[in-house]
Amino acid sequence: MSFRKFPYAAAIGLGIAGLLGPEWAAAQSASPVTIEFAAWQFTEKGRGEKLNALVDKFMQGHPDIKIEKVAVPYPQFEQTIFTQAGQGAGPDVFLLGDDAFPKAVNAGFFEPLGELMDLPSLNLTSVNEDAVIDGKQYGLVWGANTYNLIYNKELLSSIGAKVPASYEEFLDVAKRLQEKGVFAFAFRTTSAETAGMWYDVSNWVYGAGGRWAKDGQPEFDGPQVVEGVDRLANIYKSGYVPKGADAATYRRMFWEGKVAMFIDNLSLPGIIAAGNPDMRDKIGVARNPFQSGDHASLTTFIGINANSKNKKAAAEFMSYLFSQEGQLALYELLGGVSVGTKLDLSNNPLGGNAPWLGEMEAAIEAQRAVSTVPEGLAQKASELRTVMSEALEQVLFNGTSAQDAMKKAQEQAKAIAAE
Amino acid sequence: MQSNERAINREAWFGIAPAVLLLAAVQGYPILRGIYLSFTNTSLLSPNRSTFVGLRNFTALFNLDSFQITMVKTLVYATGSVIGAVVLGLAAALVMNGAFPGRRLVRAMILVPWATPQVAVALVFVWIFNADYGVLNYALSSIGLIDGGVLWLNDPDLAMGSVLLVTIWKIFPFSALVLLAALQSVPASLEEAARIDGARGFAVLTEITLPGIRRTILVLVLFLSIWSLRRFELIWLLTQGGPVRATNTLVVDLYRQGFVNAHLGRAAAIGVVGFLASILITIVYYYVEQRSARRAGEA
Repeated sequence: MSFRKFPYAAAIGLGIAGLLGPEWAAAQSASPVTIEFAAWQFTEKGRGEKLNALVDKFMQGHPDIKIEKVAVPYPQFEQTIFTQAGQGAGPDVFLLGDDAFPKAVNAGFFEPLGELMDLPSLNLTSVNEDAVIDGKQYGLVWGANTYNLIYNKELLSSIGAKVPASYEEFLDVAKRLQEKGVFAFAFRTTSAETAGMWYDVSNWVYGAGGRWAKDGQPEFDGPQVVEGVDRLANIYKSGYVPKGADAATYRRMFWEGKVAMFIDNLSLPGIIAAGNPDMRDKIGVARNPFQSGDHASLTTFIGINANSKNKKAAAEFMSYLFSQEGQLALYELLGGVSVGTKLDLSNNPLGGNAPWLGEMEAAIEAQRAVSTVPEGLAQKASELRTVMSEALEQVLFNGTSAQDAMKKAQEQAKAIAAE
Repeated sequence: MQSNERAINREAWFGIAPAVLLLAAVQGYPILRGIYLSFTNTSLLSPNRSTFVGLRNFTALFNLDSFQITMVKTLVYATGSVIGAVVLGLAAALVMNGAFPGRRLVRAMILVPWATPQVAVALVFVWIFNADYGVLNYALSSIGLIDGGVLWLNDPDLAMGSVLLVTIWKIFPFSALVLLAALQSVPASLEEAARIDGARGFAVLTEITLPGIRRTILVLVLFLSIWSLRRFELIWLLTQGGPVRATNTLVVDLYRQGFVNAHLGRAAAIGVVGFLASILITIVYYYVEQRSARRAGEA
């Protein structure tokens, strides 16, 4: 365009803007701030729809903020976030499990929340203190989940058995279920799901009274750890479990009545009832069948990306999630799992839709929750998980004794801890 | 004459310059960056902060028993998948090269595995191999070949074979297509002459057809070998390198070190080992190619 024609073009532009009216101009100046929110629950049936609805509700009440939902499946979630955040990018708000959270804080991925949110007004539970590092609150509890025995009431009563309360009772019930042609138990028995294997075996190790580490020193070959691994291997070798099954497969088998029991996180009853409504009244929840009374817990934190360019909008979204309305919706979404604030459940949103709630609360009360993160070795959790998974594979698939496999794993774990 | 040649050379260089620059940007830089990373302690969590550690990543790798196992597994996987794909591809190409009703349909159908996305292939085969509900165990037990659920992907003795089976099924159509094109360039008159001289089917294949497509086979082996070193999705989705590292190839190990354990420096060192292996294969290819060219010249 020649310089002489410029005034004409500008006049035409201004004329068009005038014709479109002041609303158009206002809309342009007030275009919403866009933030990204990443959660694996977006990819899950049942929970995905509820999370979508929760985010949509926030956007309806906050037209100045647009949330882009980033759906990454659980097995790839941590790696995706680490890769993006490591490059100075990534979603504005994201979740991370307690095994990855300290590593992420150490790498500077999370923004301290103290100056962005009015934390004292949120009525937070004490579990949130786990996200305080060097006196700063880097995240809030999205859900504090525990692992318990989930069982099919109908299958157990069909053999006249009550819920097993000890390992010996568990073996007896398993044998009788096997005679009936039903898989008594299930856990991840495929090398394609090593991360999940860690949670599964943790329950058996904690049930036998073991711990992965103490004061920053690995205890992979501790007698209780070996006993827990040996028990799990015994269940596998006795043919009580479907072999080669991943989590999705055995959970489906449970809701089809082909598996009687499994130990999993407490979001599962809700997911199973959503997948097969006929199962709703058949689902039972009990404490794990071990004497120690210890069971694994998995706390998920939510925080704001330190690289975010819209931290204020992200904090506004977080504040909504931690309001009574947001927390009730999260509580319902997570199937009755503890959320980050002390909730008033006089109007429990799950109501009669979750008949297992009473049993679930009793099971949680009866046990002591222990994080799957090795004590004092949070920064090395993923490498130790790989070592443990390989040791379990040696025991399950290669016939190595639990004693020998865990002895070798301990050597590897010590080397990793010393790095 | 010389100045004319120089001018032609200059023009040629100008002609290929854009391609060279593009390759340097999209191939050369990542390779150099990868080599540099292999000498550092770079972490995935803070890739811009790293310290030079010399050969420490390489010495640590070669001191690990598990890395030696990984090298052996990589060799087994690459050799098995290349031999399987070439042999099956050649058989398919010979069939497709013949005249029979429905030949076009067969040619189209044989491409299906190649065209199917790797993720879909892996997920379907995970179900086929399922110990309790998989169709493979069902079929084999129906005809009395097995008794009980075989753990195709979870038995350390069977996992590599199962992964190889899926890989060969996925890639053999490529070999078949390449070899079919080569077969069609072999003059039919040579085969006819051999038959008139009394040669039978197998003799015609080994004495006339295979020598005629020898160079194509060599190029095919070169490409398939390098691709086998780099193949990741199928193995990761089927076994994640397990059970007990039975299918743990270099690239699976690289991914685990880089993206699970967050050690980009160590992952880059594994990548450099893979890169050197690719170069070695290429050198062997050129050596074999040169030797056969010399022999052909002598003949």
